[in-house]
Amino acid sequence: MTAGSAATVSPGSGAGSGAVITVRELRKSFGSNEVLKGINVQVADGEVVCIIGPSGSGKSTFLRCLNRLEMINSGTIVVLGHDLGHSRTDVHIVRQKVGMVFQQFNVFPHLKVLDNITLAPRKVSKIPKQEAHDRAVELLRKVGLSEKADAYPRELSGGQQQRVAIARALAMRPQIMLFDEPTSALDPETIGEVLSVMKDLASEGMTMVVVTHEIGFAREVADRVIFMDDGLIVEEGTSSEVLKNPRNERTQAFLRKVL
Amino acid sequence: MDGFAQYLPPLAQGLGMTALLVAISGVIGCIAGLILGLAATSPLPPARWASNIYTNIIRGIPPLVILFFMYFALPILFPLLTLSQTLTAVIGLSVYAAAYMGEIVRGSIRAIPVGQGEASEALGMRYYHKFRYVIIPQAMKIILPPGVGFLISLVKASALASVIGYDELTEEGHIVSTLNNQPLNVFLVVAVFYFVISYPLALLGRWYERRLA
Repeated sequence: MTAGSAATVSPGSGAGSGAVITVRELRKSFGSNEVLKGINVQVADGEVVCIIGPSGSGKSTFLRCLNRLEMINSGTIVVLGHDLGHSRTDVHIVRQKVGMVFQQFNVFPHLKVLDNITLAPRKVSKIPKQEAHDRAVELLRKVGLSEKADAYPRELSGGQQQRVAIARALAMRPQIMLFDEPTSALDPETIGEVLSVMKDLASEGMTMVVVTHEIGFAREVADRVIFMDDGLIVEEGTSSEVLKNPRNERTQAFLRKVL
Repeated sequence: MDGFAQYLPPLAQGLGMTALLVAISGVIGCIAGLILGLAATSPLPPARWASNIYTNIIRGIPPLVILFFMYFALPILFPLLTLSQTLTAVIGLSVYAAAYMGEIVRGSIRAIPVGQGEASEALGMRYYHKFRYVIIPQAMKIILPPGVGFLISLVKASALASVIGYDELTEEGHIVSTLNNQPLNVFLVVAVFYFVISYPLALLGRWYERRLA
């Protein structure tokens, strides 16, 4: 099996220059259902990678493997130098450096917006209260929600909640941000405000892996677009390569449907 | 009503005994229930098994039998475990309460969307922080109504402690009424006394529920 030979990783082997994520022959099954059938990906520092594909293609599962919300069955995932497949790797350390934004926002409903953002920096990173507060205020300004600091999530629209979720993830000062269909649960009129926050983030040089159905966003922002289908990467390249001139017929068929 | 002054002191003493029993076993039951509920939702299979076995065995036994077993049967098996009536009553009711509170806690934790735990983990939180600051505060709102309901039923279940000779309110009422032959007056007072314990519990629950909302 190729997976066996790829199981050992020498420290320097993760891509030529500055790969922050290296994935080799990743396989993942839920019971007897194999959803990832051998994924190979590298993400460079500062790169914005968009993953598109039909539902059930495994793109969300792949993303969730990158911070070990899902345990992998075989293959290798090295994130920021930490081998996530290794049982001795302390995944909490990796997660502090890898932010994640979910389709369903998952903001904490019992906490005010500001407390949503300061909780992890204070408790996990042990940052002083005032510093965490200042950081949160700054991030709220960045996502355009300064006036909502004392609101509860239920008082916010979906787009506002998702921007809080982005600020909450950024408060940990992550080196990588993972986005799992961040606009799929939003009303059409609030999608734009979330995408614009994400665009700002990309232009600041954040490394981003974005699972999305927003082809327009991928075309505009992505350095690289990956098309996944049935647990495999079918096509990958620059956004113009994959989105304008797809070579694979499954990519072509998918883009015809969504565009 | 001229006997009132005579039979009130023993009834008041019974009220105190009942309040003491419920307070201690209620607190122990809540703490043990929280532990059982956390164990039942633990990622560690042995913790889940242990919690499930305990809960299912205890819930399947009438509390009266738990008290009888602890007071009369346990000393036969283990002579060192000859407990006083007070200790038997407190432990017996605690054991009983823990199983029910554990189920309430387990169900409430289960009711919190999986995404809340995942969001906590994605931020780098470990088990303690995730439960302490995210899961339990949200679960409290769900725990509260059935939890308070159970504590009120624990007030009434405490009357069972009379069978092993713990002189709580019902037992005192029974004794006094056979002595003075005024069951109507005596048990009216007993009923009012039970209400005096359980109604503030209900009010406290309501107040805390509003505070969490």
